[in-house]
Amino acid sequence: MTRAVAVLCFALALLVPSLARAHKPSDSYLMLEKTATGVRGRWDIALRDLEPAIGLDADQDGKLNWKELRARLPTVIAYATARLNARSATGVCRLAAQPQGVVAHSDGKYVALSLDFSCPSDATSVTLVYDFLFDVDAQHRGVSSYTDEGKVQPFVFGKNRRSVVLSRVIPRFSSIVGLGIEHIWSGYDHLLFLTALLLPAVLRRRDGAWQPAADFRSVLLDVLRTVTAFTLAHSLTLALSTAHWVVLPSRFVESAIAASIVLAALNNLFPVLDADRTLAFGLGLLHGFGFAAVLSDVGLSGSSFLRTLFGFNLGVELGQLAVVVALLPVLHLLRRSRRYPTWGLPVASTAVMLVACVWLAERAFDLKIIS
Amino acid sequence: MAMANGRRRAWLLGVPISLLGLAAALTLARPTAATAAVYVPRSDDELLETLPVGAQNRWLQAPTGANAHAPADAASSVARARSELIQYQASSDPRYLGRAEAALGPFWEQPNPPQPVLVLRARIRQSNHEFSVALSDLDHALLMDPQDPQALLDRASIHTVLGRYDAARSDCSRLEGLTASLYVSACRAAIAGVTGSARAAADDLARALLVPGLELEDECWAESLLGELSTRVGDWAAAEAHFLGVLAACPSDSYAKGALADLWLARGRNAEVVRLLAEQVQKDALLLRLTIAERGLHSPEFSKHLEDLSQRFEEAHLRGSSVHRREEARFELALRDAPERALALALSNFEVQRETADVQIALEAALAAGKPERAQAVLAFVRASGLEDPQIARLLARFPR
Repeated sequence: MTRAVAVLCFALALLVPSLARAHKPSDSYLMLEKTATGVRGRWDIALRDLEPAIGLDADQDGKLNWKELRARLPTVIAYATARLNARSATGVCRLAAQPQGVVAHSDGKYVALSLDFSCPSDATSVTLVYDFLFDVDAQHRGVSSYTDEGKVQPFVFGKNRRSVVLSRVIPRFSSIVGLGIEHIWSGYDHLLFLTALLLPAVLRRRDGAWQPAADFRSVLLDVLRTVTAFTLAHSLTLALSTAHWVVLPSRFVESAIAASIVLAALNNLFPVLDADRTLAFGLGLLHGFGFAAVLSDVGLSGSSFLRTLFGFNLGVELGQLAVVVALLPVLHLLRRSRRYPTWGLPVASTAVMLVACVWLAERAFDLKIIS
Repeated sequence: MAMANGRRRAWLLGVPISLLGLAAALTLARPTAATAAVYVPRSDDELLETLPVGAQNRWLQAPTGANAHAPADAASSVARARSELIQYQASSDPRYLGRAEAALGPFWEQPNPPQPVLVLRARIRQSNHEFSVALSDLDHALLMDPQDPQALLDRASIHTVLGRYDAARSDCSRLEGLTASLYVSACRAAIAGVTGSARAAADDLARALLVPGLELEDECWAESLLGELSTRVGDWAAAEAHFLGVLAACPSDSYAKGALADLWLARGRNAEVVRLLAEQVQKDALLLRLTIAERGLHSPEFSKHLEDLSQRFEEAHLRGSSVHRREEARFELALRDAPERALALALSNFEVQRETADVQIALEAALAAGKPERAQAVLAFVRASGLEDPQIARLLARFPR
């Protein structure tokens, strides 16, 4: 009888009709995405889960404040990162983790960690092993998502599913070309630079003044030469930068690109360089570095390097060509306008220059703030 | 054109994101639990979380290293699992269930663990609504020890939840002489309450409660059962008195709070429900009742609590949990005005458990959706069981004969 009483200390609980379990169970949230070199993302871990595992509430008063959590962040990072690993077929991925702050989920506060796994560069898949908290709470789940190629793959880690294979999709050629087109169209600065170069294409410098070009055929040739020079230049630096042979700080590149537009517009107002090609090539070199920043996010592994570079560049040229084709009829009309050399060109060039000056100031200002 | 530098750069990044889906924006923009914003608290004193205190919650950090890697000693595993389960029963916080499971360590996976492990494992599985594996654990445990009162009582309760009343009655009879008369009476009362003899069962249980020297928790559970029986026979004043009695003795009893809230909600006493449950927003089942009351009162809290509830259900879906289907059905019906979804949830819930509340939500949803024919199985079950309950009877009257 004594045994029965001891065992039955919560005997009747089940006889009363059940009220659904009151609280939310233990979940962590792992949001991952593909990067050039591996996988990165954010990991939200409930403070309520960390308390029994490593102890956060230093004064044991049942109230956890930011000071107490802050003091334990190094332990949180060490505890968590020791329990989440990634590897590819050829080796282990290095994990860099940082505390980001706290975040509220529906049942309370979580600590948010940023994660960045760097894997061997030829990895076509990454195996993620989640061995977190199951020894504390066997019903813990790691509610996760992995984003690659716009596809979100949700999955849940549990005691009986501790690993998942994340395949790293190599982008389709057409989507790389599309990326190039999108980039040139959305990168106003490249288009504005090109516009600045093409504005005087219908005019010729004679005796220190602008004169209409003799015929439209020569205008076409002029445009072709300018665009080709720009293309050659930015293709060259795009390749150099993407291959990591020449790497420039992105803020410098951004500012220099803005400056290049100012220079191109200035050259329309006060022509120094006769040949637009020289300007297009010289300053076009800068723009290639700007394109490279976009490509570095796509992820370039050894075998697909040339394919990606070629596809992206092709996209940039197609996008640029479309803009030029759209500009040609306008240029054709402008060639006959008498006011264009005296009014149209200076006003348009000044407007372009002002916009570029604002960009330049912003980018340079940013540079000062950061350094 | 002169966009801010930061904005412009974000835009540049946004293009490859939309094309190749590389970037956080997509992940973070998902309408899931992940939408919340990360921030760094401004003050050291900012309160982040209220945590349970006491040594019980720290055993994992004990210097002895008492965790799952400890040697597989059945007695200490069982003792720890049992103490976690008691915490679960007291708080209905499922983390304690997970910790009880973790405490059983390697025994959890064994096909033939020691008998006490089987009984605890069954209890944990039952709490996760894994009734069939829980039953097979208890069958196994009772083969090893046919007179284990805990295993008999637990098996009787599973049979009751599943509506297998004959099997449940047989287990209650086997309890006779093995344990205190309160447990035998409660075992029978739980069945009688849903098979048409609530009044007699209540008298019997009330007599058993007169025995001196009962544990407070047992008294509270038995009193809740009495409240349940009074509800069945339509004596709402008595039911209310029982549940208030439970809360006087055991103030944190979630079951009594929920049952009392249901009594009051059915009679439109929304303000009292809000007073009872205002502090209970952490507990999903109670937050549900609170939000229903707030809707009736056009309370300013309503929309926030509705949002919280939606998020809780969504998070449960994300983790693949389905233990909330009864509550979710009620949520869809009473708060989202979505009787079709409520009916689907209620019917799939009815496949798993068949308590009075499960019957009630299925009938209500079928009527609200205008599809009474889809509740055929529920109607057949009610008629076969002899369930008496004025609320169920009123619902039954609205079904075509």
